[in-house]
Amino acid sequence: MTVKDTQLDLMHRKLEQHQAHEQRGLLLLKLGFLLTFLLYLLFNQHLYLGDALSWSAYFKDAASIFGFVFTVAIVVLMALFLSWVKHHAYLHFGFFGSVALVVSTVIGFALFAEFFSSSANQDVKASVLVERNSAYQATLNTESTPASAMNTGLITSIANAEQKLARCEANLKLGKEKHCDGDRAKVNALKSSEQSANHAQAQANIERDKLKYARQDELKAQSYNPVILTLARVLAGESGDYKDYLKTAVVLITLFVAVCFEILHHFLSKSHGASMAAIEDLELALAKYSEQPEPVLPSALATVQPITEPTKQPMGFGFPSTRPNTAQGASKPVLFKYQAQGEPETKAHHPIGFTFPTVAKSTLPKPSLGTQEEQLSLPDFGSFKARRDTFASPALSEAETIADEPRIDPVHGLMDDKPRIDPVHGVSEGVSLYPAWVQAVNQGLCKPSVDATRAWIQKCIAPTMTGSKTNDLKRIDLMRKAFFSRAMKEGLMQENPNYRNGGKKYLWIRG
Amino acid sequence: MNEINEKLTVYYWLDGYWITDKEEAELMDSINAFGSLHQVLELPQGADIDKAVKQRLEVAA
Repeated sequence: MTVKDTQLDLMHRKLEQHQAHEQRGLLLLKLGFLLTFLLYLLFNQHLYLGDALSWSAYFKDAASIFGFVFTVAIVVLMALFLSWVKHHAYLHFGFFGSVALVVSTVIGFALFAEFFSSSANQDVKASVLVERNSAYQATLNTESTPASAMNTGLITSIANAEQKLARCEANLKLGKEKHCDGDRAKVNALKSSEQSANHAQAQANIERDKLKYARQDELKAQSYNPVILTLARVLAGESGDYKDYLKTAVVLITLFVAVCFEILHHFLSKSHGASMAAIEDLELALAKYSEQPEPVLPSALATVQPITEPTKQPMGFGFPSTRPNTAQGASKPVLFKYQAQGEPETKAHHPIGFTFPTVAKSTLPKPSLGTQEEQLSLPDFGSFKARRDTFASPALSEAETIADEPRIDPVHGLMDDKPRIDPVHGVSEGVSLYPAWVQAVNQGLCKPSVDATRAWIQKCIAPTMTGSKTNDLKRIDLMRKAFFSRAMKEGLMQENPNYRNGGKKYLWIRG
Repeated sequence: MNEINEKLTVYYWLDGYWITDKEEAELMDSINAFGSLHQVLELPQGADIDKAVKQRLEVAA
């Protein structure tokens, strides 16, 4: 199996993995959509219809039934609309990135709806549980003892004393008794006792009711989830009553659940976008790589002692290291970012596109090195020489004879005899960019102006690049300046001595 | 210190073109501007860069 076949096989496998990942992500997104719909349905139900236990009131007559059905239709349609919009927004985020206002609206409203309905559900659940609690029912059924039953003996005594006092007063009128003070005092004493007893009884009843209600509250509170109870106790602290914080705890916990759900749902949209980008990149890379000839692995690479630069940052648009690495290893040919963009996982091991010519072992004495430089062996460029008319150095040009030397054209690059320029898509992979630009200017495909050259460079390097790095105009302008600088050194262009604002700043000399 | 100041670092390509700006050299390499990766040559200040580069290219050839 050739390197290319292996490479293609690996890329196909990677593509299948990405596709499976994407399918799973889409399935989860659909599940998220369904869940969102149900949660919104619950929210709308609580908002417009109230708790289901109270719905029996809607079925009393035809008018109330019609109102109920109408409200149900609104509830369902609104839930469908809201969940669909949210689903669409998340898919949109996957494709086009997040929009802060939409994200905050969608997620904020979803959070509110979810913890609104969830917290209401917690209360309903707690009520249902407490209604079924026998201990709670027992507290409801306990009746206080009537005061009359408790004081039957005292009432009888009062009645007897009042009867005796009445007889005494009758005898007093007849002259049979001297006074009735004793009987009257007894009646008063008994009545006073009755009042005291009644007061004590009332106090006892009040205390008993307090205990009963406290027990009912305790049982109601205990019907909540232990996590909610724990959080309520934490919120209440040492001195507070945890039962006062139950609602707050319910809101916080349902909010936490809703936030987790929204984060995961939003992650799915991000995952969808990343998967799609990876699949598209891989498909593009596969298409490109399938059309390329078998890559030539570098051989007979010279052994060098590179000076390591562990902290060195790469230059440019996230391209691979631009350090001269012509002799770093047999399995690592030189690739440029825009050449190997579509195959990020395997580019380090399998060459695509631009490959460096065979490197010969250098016989030169090792020159002194700077702290940031490394001595590398020179590649075998015995098959090319500079041409007189394109060199920046007159001294070098004078020593050259064009006819005797093998054809080397710096304008057309070392890798290709002729740059392949596609006016629409830019330069083919593996082609040196500067000679391609010179050719494009000569052919009239690119004007030798600042803007046109910048656009041309960007078009050449941007098609396979992604992300904000493609918009680094400052760096592209540095490339443009370097091109102009070389072109002027080579006598291809010069600054317009008669330049005026709006006119041509540079003149192209070679046509 | 003086020795460092007296050195001139030249970045050249296999087609003979050279510059003295390292960042520009790396930038050009990053887009395969000149068909090869740049090589580094250190020369004394005032040296004939064209001649030195040419010699390096000829020896390597």
